[in-house]
Amino acid sequence: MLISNIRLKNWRNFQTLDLPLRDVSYVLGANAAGKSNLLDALRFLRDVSKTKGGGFQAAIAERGGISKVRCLHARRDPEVEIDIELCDQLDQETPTWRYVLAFKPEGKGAQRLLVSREQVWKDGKQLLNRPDNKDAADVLLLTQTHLEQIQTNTKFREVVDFLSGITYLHLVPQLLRFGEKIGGHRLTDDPFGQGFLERLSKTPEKTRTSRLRKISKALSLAVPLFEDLRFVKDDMGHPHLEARYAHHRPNAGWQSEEHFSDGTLRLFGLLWALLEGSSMLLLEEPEISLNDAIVREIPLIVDRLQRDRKTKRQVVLTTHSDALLSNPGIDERGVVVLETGKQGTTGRPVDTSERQALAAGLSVAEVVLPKTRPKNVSQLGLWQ
Amino acid sequence: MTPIAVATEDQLSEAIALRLLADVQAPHYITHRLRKGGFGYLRSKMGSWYQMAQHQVMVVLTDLDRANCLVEFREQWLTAHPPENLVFRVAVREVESWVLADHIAMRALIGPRGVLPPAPDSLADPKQVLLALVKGAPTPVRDDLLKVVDGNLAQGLGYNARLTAWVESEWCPNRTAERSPSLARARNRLQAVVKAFGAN
Repeated sequence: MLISNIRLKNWRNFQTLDLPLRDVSYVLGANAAGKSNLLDALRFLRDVSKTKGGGFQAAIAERGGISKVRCLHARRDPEVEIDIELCDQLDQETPTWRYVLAFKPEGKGAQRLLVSREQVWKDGKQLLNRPDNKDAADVLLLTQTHLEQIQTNTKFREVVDFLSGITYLHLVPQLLRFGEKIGGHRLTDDPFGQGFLERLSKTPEKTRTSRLRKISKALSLAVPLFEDLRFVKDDMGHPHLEARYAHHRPNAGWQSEEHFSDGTLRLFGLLWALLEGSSMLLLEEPEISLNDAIVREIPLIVDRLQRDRKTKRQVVLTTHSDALLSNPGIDERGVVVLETGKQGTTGRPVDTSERQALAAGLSVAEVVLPKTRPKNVSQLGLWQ
Repeated sequence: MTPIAVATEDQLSEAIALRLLADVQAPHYITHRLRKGGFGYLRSKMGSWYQMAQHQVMVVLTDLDRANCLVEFREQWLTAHPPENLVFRVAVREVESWVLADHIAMRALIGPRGVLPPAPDSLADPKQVLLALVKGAPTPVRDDLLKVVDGNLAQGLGYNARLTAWVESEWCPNRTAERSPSLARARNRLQAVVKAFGAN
């Protein structure tokens, strides 16, 4: 299953946004255009539908409350809305599922945050339409979504499972490397890799070994002198990754992840995430720390890994990278451009004239990416 | 040992140029592989290629694409007396016609289906011909090479990666030269220039 369309109202810096998504979507935009905010809308739905520590109120609280989530441009209409369509296949005429969640403060008293609309359609037929009679009788019910409750989401459990399986990856090598030393507060879903090694540790050994073997093959192509990879636990029982390089003395031993380069760790994280899970994968700027020659291959890696899987994993990635978008084979229907304006950010797919340029053999990097550059960015170099 | 620099438009052209050089019967080594996507780069750096040709054999490989006349095309790119160590070769019309010219290697890639063009140099759009042939290829090959948007065939994500590997392992310039006069000329010229450089 995949999300084929997302519509947002008053979500962070989007006053309105209506975008189609493909099996692989590339989100382009200047800095602070809202690329991460778009991903966050999907993470938000994941947080709402999570069985453990999830739920609507918690998901909003984790984001600092409704005032942080709601678009600053939302003056008259205080309602925030997320509307997604899910399909079994690309280019389906009627989406298999549609889920709408809208919410706003109560407008009086304790200003409780209430669900103002929650709707579900299956194959075009409406299954749920809140607020309903029960909600009218007991307003407290509106502090929770049906999405987060197993008693109420029976009829659309498929959607819940998809949403709660969404994974977000933005591996920060320093956090992985020094996770134990830094300690401190870890976000519930650990998107930045503090507990990445524990995640490896929890994977059944057989699966882990086979994944490591696959990743090892990829790394030996991408990282000079890299030879082998293994998973071990130290005396304290802490999990570690170890790699061997060709330039060391034959028995010089293995190097643990503290000594991996940022690029090696990020590439490892990317490949692991692609092998893991079956729901949507959100990748935040996968190009960071990686050599352009490797970044150039990311679209093909993603595509090929998906091809060989029984259940395809939808990928949404944000990027600034010329190299990543330089492959003329990128399907332009998956390219999404975010543009900032006085009324917040708007988004659009590739337009007709861009399509024509791409059809003439140019790449997304040549045609679309330059449009996300800030107008006066060349003046930045004159800064002092 | 003759130093050789290679400037091309894309990964596939580069692989082909290197494969051609591998057959050159004179000791040589590659100093630079220069490529930045698109012929605009190749053309804008023509001055650099001229200068570099003073120190080494400079191979520049580009496509004729939709330009009509080879002579006119060369005149647009080159001055009256280009340096003798500059090997400026134009694939007629695209390097894909050279790809199509090796029928045995093509069969290894796409399987038994489809009719291969007997004289690929005369094709108006060899890339489209190649993509149309790929439609009948085994699924993994097709998935890599082909992208279909609204019924139009275009190069897929793995186009360069797979064809480059194929050029290195299967494609044979000897066989290709039999069907493609433009490739035969390119080979002869490479051989002659590299030899001449070594003799000086």
